[in-house]
Amino acid sequence: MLHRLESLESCTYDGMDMTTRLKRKQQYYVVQNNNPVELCASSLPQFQGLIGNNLGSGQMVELKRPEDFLGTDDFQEFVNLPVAGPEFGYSEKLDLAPPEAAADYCISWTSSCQITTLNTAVMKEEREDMILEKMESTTGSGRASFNKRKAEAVADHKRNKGEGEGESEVKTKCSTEISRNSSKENSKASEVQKPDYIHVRARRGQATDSHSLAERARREKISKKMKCLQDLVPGCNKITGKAGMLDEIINYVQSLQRQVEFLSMKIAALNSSVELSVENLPMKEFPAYVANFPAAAKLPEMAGLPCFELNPLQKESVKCMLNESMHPPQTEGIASASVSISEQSLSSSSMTQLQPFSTWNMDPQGLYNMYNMGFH
Amino acid sequence: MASIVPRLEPAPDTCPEFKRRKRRIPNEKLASSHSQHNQGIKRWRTQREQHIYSSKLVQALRRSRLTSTSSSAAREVHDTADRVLAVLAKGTTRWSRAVLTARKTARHKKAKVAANIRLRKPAFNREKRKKPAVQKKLKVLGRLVPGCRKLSFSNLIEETSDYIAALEMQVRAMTAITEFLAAGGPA
Repeated sequence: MLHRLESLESCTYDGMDMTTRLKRKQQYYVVQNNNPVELCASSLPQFQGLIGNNLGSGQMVELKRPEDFLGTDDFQEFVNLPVAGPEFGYSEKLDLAPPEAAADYCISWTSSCQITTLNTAVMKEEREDMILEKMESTTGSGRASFNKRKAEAVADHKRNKGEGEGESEVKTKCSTEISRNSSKENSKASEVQKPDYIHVRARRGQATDSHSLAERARREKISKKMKCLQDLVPGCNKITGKAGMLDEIINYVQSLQRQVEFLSMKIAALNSSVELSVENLPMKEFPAYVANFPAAAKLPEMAGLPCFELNPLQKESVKCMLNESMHPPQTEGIASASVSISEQSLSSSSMTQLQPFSTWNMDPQGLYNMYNMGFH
Repeated sequence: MASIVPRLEPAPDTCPEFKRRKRRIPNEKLASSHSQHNQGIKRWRTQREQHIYSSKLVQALRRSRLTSTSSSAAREVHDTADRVLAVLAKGTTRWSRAVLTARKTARHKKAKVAANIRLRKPAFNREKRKKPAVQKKLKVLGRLVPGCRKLSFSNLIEETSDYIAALEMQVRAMTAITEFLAAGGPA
């Protein structure tokens, strides 16, 4: 008997510690399956006896073992008894801990026994909530600790509702052991079976208001997406802050759009020539070909590119081509020139805005090339 | 068992349920679109996608070649390229839908509207202007990405990331096409 009592006291001491420490921090609930559980299980009957004794006058309640309640509807009763304890001046007689703590660890003790019997892995958060709600409803919301837990309960309650009624019934049978945990398990908690909601957990030392939780979730979502963008946009690794990042993003999008426009112009120019080369031009259509060429020459002007020097160059190349075409036997010279030109075109085809001049320079030469090939 | 369940939900019954209904639908959409979206961005990086795009673009260009006028050939090529890109997006993103539904006349209307706004009440603007630099930039970005002017921050960022990935692929494909054409084409 003695040694049992001693063990009980040690248990209760642990319980006290846990609950008081809990009050100082913001909540963090995780089920802990350790030794204290077994200890509780053994000492519970004695504990119950204690409670029964201390409930005092007129309170001859028969406290059943927790396991008895597993299959019955009396669980509510059972849980309510220790919870109602403080209201009856239970704490004064028991002198173990402040009222809320007593209620807490009463619950925790009962829960710890049931942990061994039930599957705890999945149900932990939900159980906490259920217990918290019960506590709330029975003891009133006036107490500070309950208020904190209420916020958490409300925040997590959405999750619970989504689980379905069947699970909630099972939850009511069990309860949780409230224990501390390190801040390793942070922010977004595990996705429960039915991922209807984004599960957020309050971090250590942060407000548990539902609004702030939602805001935090939103902010984290945004930062995730910004990181995703950072990977896309080159040179954004060093920049921190939304404004700088947005600047870079805007610049990059603008440069990409300009590149696309530039390339489309090029393709348009090349397109016309390719068309002609496929049709295998006879000499008569030569003026038509020339007529198209000034149109292509106008394109850089329209684009507003800084390649004003090109126009005279292009005109020269037109003249060149006219001259060359008049003398088809000179193909060898042309071929060598075209080879060098094609090499140049391939090398300069890497599109950067720093080289508009060279690429446009290539263009008439490219056309010239194609005309040649078409001619053969 | 049945008695316990209603007992548990006396006070918080209406409040979280209401919240649940409010928040359930957007969260569901988020969950589904988020998974889709992630896979959506990576598709623009694959070689296969680029090949598909370039072949479709070449086909479209051949078709439009016959009807093209010499003055606006570049613009037509640009439009064709954008439209093919949007088709490839399969309507999952906002910008792609906006590109496909955009009309040619819409371009000219922009300048007029912008000019009118400046004439209206400059005094009020100064009072209310708190210089939210981020907000300004968000607007600019919204104008850059087609069809994304009135979007929330997070949605805009999503669209932008997809748009950037698509643009990069477009640039790569069009560069390849120009190289191909410049090197001699289908002779």
